Amino acid sequence: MILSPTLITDAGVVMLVVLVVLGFATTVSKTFRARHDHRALLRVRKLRPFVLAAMEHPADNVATLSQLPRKERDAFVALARGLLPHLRGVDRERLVQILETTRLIDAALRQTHSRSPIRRARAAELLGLAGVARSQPELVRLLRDRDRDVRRTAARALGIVGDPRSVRALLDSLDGPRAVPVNAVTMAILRIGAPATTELRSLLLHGPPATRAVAAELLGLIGSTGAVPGLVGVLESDAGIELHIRAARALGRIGAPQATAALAACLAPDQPAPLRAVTARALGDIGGVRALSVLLTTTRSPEHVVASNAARALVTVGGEGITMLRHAATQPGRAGAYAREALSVAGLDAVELDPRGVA
Amino acid sequence: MKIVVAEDETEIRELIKFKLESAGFEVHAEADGESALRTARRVLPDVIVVDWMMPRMNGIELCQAVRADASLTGTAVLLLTAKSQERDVQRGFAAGVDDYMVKPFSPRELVTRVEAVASRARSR
Repeated sequence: MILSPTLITDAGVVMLVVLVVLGFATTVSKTFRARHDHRALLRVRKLRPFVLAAMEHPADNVATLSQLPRKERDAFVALARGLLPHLRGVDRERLVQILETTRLIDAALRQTHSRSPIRRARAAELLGLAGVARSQPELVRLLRDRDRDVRRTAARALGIVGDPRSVRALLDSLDGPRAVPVNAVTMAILRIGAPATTELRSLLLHGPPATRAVAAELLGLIGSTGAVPGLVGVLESDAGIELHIRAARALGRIGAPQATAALAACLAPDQPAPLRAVTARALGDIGGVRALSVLLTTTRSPEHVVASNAARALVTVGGEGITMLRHAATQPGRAGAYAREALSVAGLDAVELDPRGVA
Repeated sequence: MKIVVAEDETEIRELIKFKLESAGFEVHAEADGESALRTARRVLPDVIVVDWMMPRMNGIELCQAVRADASLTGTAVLLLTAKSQERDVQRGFAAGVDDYMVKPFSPRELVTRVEAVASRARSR
């Protein structure tokens, strides 16, 4: 088909008009946005002295803040969001109290149902920053929100609120089409800290496999000594390599000497190499006489990462572990090489290979 | 007593300024390290409250510049930062700060500490 010159010209004109209209619309939109942001900034600037004065003398100033029009109330919330993450002590408590008195917390609770994902996320953020305990059920609901950012913000907020009843919901949120990113969930539970361990210990024993693995990891990061029997039980069960690895790492982080026998059993040659590698490091973190001989034996392992980790674990044990390594370093063969490498990486004295031992 | 505040986050800067002014200090607030150093050289403050992470010149560089300036020998430096690791604290003191506060912080405690470092600096 041959296009006529008129048709080509007309198409060009249409394209030009479309481009001009798009360019104009973009400019108008940018100008509108810039003016909107500038006005919001001005409102915050105008409001700031009242908020700071209210934090200093609440009785004299809260009444003014209670009667603000909607846009000024938004400015107050923006200001509070800027301050709360950096504050502790009386000033923080007063700012939260002012937000309560002026019913901005109630408004945020309502906005968790807003049709706008931005409003839902901002509401969740404020409720978290203010540590509003009664917002826990709403924030748990938002863990299944259709918007990813809202879900992530809700997880973070639940961590700050710190209610251990959120732990199960947070871990459940790792699965499904509306999953929350694992780092947001783990950070939230770590922030809840020790109060989370009761639920985590229960989930370690009775949760689905993926949840059990994350629970084991978290118990180790929190350093829950009460979780040691459960973690040892997991190691001795047929829970699968993923869970065994997490449990071994957790026991090392907790530094549980009562787990030494169970960990030593995981270093048996018939165990998978990834488990033996992690277990070697864990035994190094725990230390103790019983760990030494099994770690020294493991430096002769045929798998590089296992032998290397065992040698480095002996450095971590220190004292007798380093003495053993120094002796091993004088010997030829793989174990001697790993001993020398571990001593060198740790910046300890260089050890010469004993010429009498070389064939 | 004169204080220079170097903090790039507007809300924190304004809050610190308000608190210190309410406590009776003359406060000069700046949003970056370079401006804070210029202001410090002009007003010769008793204390500089410095955020670590700032544009242009960070808090550590500002502290080192203050310590290297003969006109600011009587000025105390208080570092206010979210960095709370042991090595961060060591780095701060190695740069010559007189006191170190970790965010989140209590503004009331900050005022007390400013008074304390100023008092120590005066008796040096």
